[in-house]
Amino acid sequence: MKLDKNEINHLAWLSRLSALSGREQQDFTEILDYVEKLKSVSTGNIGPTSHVYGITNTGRNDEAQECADTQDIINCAPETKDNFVKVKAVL
Amino acid sequence: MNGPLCDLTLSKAKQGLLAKEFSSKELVEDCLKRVEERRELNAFITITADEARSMALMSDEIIAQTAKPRELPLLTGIPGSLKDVFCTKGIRTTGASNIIRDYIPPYSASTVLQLEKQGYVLLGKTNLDEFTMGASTENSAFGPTKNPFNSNAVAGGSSGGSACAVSTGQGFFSLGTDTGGSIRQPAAFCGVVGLKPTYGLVSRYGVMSMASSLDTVAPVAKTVEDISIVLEAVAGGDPHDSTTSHKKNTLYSESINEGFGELTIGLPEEFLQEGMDSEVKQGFERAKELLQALGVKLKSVSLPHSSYSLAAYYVIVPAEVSSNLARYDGIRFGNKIEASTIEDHYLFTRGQGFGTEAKRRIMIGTFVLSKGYYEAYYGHAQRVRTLIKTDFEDVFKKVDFILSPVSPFLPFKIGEKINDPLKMYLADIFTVSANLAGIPALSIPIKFAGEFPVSVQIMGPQFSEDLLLRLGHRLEQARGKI
Repeated sequence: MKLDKNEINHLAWLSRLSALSGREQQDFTEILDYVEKLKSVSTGNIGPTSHVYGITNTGRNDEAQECADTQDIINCAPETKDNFVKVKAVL
Repeated sequence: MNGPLCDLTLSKAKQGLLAKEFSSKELVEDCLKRVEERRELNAFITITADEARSMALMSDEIIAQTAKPRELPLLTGIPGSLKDVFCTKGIRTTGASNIIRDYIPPYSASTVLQLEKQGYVLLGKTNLDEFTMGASTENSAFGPTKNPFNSNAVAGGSSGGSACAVSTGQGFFSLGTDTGGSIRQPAAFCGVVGLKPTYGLVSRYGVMSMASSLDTVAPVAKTVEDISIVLEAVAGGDPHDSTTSHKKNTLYSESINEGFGELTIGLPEEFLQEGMDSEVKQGFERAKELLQALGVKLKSVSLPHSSYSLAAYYVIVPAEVSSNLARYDGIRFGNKIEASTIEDHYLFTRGQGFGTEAKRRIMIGTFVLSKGYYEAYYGHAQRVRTLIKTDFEDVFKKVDFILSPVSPFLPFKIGEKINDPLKMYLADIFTVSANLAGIPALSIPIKFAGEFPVSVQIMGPQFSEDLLLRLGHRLEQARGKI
């Protein structure tokens, strides 16, 4: 699979990563070339596997439970103000 | 007893503790001394000496006061370690990444709470490839872990620190993770036993995720019996992890010495056609001899889609990685960055914080999940995964277990493969299939080839750990000291 420099840089942007170096782009392309071998397998109508044995989703009663301490969680954030996590302007 | 306490097996250390031949404090001091002596191997990111000493003190009080030592929790007073992706409340957990190198989790993983309930003592957090991505522990932001048999060679990965620590008496066990071989291969490289359990047998809550449909919590220890004790301590359903199975927990350590009747083990043709070092082949042949001497029948089997396992793995894993690592945005946790816009904030945080392999996998993942490519790559790989899983189900109708090598090569030199990602990915050729199929796999050392140990892998049907461990234990006994 050959991606040009613009396509690779766009992927980097989607991933919120800085642009790849030449060497990194080469490695990326080589790996994509390797996984092309999957194209030679026919899967017909077979379903995908996302979980290895069928399970159904679990639920619990809608009751408040203990969680981690709020202060411990807030303390993890690099920037806070008045017990809120500070974020740069998004809009 | 002769020799340092830290070189005992977990099982012998437990016996000695309960018989009051020595104390948990003595075990801990001996392990900490060994940790200092072997610092050059770089097995640990964080050593929790103070916590270890106070936990040992509590354990010794419990042992002193009990009238029924045999009823004490499974790991009372036993020092062990945790791969540094297990969140430990109040104790730094880094994922071996610069992006969260000072992170102090506000909670502990479910398995950590289980270990605490079972009375263990935490020696420290072990080194790994960043966010468990790698096969050599060279992708760590804290430097590589060295092989205990030759410090110019790698300890394997991604749980290199855990395997190295156990191999060198720096604790009696470690909890690691295995997504594509990450406990089995370093266990093989370091001459110890590693088990990848069935997916869903052990809770992943509080363990930093790499590929959520493949990650398993996986113990490493000196012997199969030791593994059975650790597995029993941590296995079981968890309401915090909806992918766990709620089957009744098996007492693996109690049944370890039971017999197993007639068994047939499959030798997968396609695996054996792959290239491997001659020493690895010899180890495999030796394992076959030992198993036959135990009365086990061997039979050739076919896993027709196994040659696509690595390619499927390196589509599915990066896809899940790109999703799981999106949380590392430097906002709720991470390091303070100077940036004027939110875009710059993300770019600087992630550009500087992630290592090369992490970035590589995020990029590939983003590509295979993107519009126009999703079905052709990720969707297709998930269907190939079904074929691979079905191959195993079909084979397990004919045989009880499957035997294969663990690694196609012996421990390689530090620096040898790090600049060639595809070469590094080939390290996983024998191990990824078990993760794709969600089945258990046990890595056991068989012999030495020169200075390095060689191991084999026994894979079983889902939830066959009880029989698998019994077989592994008998194989180990038949093998004797290596």
